[in-house]
Amino acid sequence: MSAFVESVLRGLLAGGPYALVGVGFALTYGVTGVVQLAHGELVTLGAFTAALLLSLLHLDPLLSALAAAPSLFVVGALVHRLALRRLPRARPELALLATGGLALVVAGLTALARDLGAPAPGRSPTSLELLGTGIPRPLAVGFAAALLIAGAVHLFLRRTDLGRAVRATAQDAEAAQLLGVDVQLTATVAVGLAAALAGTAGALLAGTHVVTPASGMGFTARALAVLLLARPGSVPGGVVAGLAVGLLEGVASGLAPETAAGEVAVLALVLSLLLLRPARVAAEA
Amino acid sequence: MVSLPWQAGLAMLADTSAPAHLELGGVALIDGGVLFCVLVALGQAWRMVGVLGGRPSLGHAAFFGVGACGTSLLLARAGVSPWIGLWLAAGVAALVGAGVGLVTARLRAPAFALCTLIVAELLRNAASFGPGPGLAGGAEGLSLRTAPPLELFWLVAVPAERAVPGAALALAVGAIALTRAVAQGRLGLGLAALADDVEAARAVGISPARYHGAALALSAAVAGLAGGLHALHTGSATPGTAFGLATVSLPAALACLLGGGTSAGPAGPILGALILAPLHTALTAPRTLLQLGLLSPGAPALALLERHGGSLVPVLDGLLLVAVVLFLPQGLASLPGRLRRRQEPTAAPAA
Repeated sequence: MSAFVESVLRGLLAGGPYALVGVGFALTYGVTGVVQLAHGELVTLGAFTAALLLSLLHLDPLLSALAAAPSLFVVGALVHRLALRRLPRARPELALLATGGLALVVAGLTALARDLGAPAPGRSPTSLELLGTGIPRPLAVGFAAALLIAGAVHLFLRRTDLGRAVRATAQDAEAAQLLGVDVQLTATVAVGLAAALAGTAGALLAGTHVVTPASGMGFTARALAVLLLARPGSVPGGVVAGLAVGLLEGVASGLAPETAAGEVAVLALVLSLLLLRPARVAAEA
Repeated sequence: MVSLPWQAGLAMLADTSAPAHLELGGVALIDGGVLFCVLVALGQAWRMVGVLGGRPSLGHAAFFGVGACGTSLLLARAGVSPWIGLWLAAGVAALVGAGVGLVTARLRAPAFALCTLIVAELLRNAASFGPGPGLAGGAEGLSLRTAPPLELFWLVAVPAERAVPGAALALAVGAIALTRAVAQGRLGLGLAALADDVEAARAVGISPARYHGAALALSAAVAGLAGGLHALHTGSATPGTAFGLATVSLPAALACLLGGGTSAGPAGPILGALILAPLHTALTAPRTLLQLGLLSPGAPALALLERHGGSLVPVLDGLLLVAVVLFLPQGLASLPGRLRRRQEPTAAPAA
């Protein structure tokens, strides 16, 4: 398999976890109206949490990825309770500044934890290649896990009462409240879920990607791309968008290996989308 | 905060017979002073776009970085004296600003903010890993340690150690004056009209492209100068920090918002920088506290700060930013007014 095809495949497979990050990001935006710039930091936090669990409990990397989810859920719920729901909905640009500040806090604390001895997310030792294709097994496993989780989220949103409440809150919070939905609680649950998704994605990616405290903004950019590409509220759309972003990254870095071409391509995509459909990030209060 | 460093700093600059370094705190205090001036300039530049223009920017690091890396590139690859390279790089930054302003002219605040963020990140990635062996010196950046003296009118050669702090002060003063001029002039009026009601402003002939483009160009030039001077002072320009959200873009916004919030006063960034600069200096160079007598040599706090102070800077900035948006959107300058209103008896309720 040529290096280019391998790069494209790797990008595509990374798109699975990217989809999870994006779906969570869109979910947060839907229920709070805030573009959560710290979302990418939650991905990083998830990777570090899983690394901690791995070193403490010696779980299988996949299990520690799932085990990290509950703590990320709590982090997300706290972020919503303490900060997100108090942000001015009438001034979304100020809310952006605040979530930017939040990103700094999370990134800084993660860096501090690492300096104080927390284990850094390392490449998974089980680098068994898949069918001799040069694709590391953790990447393929992460891809499959991500798709399964996305499917579960889709079913949750469609078939359960809480899921329906989340969708209602995202569509029209006032109307939902009038119909008896506890909007604040629902939003907290949704943001917690989004954080759990982000954290799990981070843990899944850590097996094959280098994740450092500075990786957050890159993940936020991918999440933004998914938000701008996919139809609002659609999980399958989010999955397709995530795969597309991964594919773009894979193609770009395949064409120009050893550079930041993949990152630049994703950023260029986000910029173009922002210029083409700015209304997607301007939720009317 | 302690008033001593600033009084001493001003005295030092005024006294041309004194040695270039203060006996007292030495280099660390000058670092703090230069940082203060850079933050004031950055804050004023940000104010032009974020307050006067009504659209906060998350990407001023783009312009700062162009100034910093441009100046260092010109010196390292073309041998251009940084005192000239500074202006050239700032010019390039102005062009970038104009470009961003034109392209994003029709966007509303949230999309604009995100675009500026992405532009800064794009430049950061491109500069860190550019074509060939790193366009801007790769991730490690380029060194400016051999900064030549500033030659004034071909007569006097001021050594760089003295010239850079003086230039930083001049930049800060110039930035204040420029932003004030913009605010009170036609550009400021046009920006205010656009911030108020875009459609009405356009109907009267105020072109968003022209006005936002001009504002961003000016703002970028100032930010670029700040970046170049900062690089000159610290001796190097690393793309990762020069173009960073955490290192430049958000502190610029914070300096402006912490002081004056979203209202237009020129004193806002000065107040914000006055608070941020000492805090940053204390965290990144804890020796200053030692030399000011605020900490004793064996204090555990000193060791703690020396090891982890650097990591704490973004945490502090982030917390302050969140706090300002949640509790003090009009900045610290609005505190006296708010406290006064609390103490006055409540007025008669409206009918």
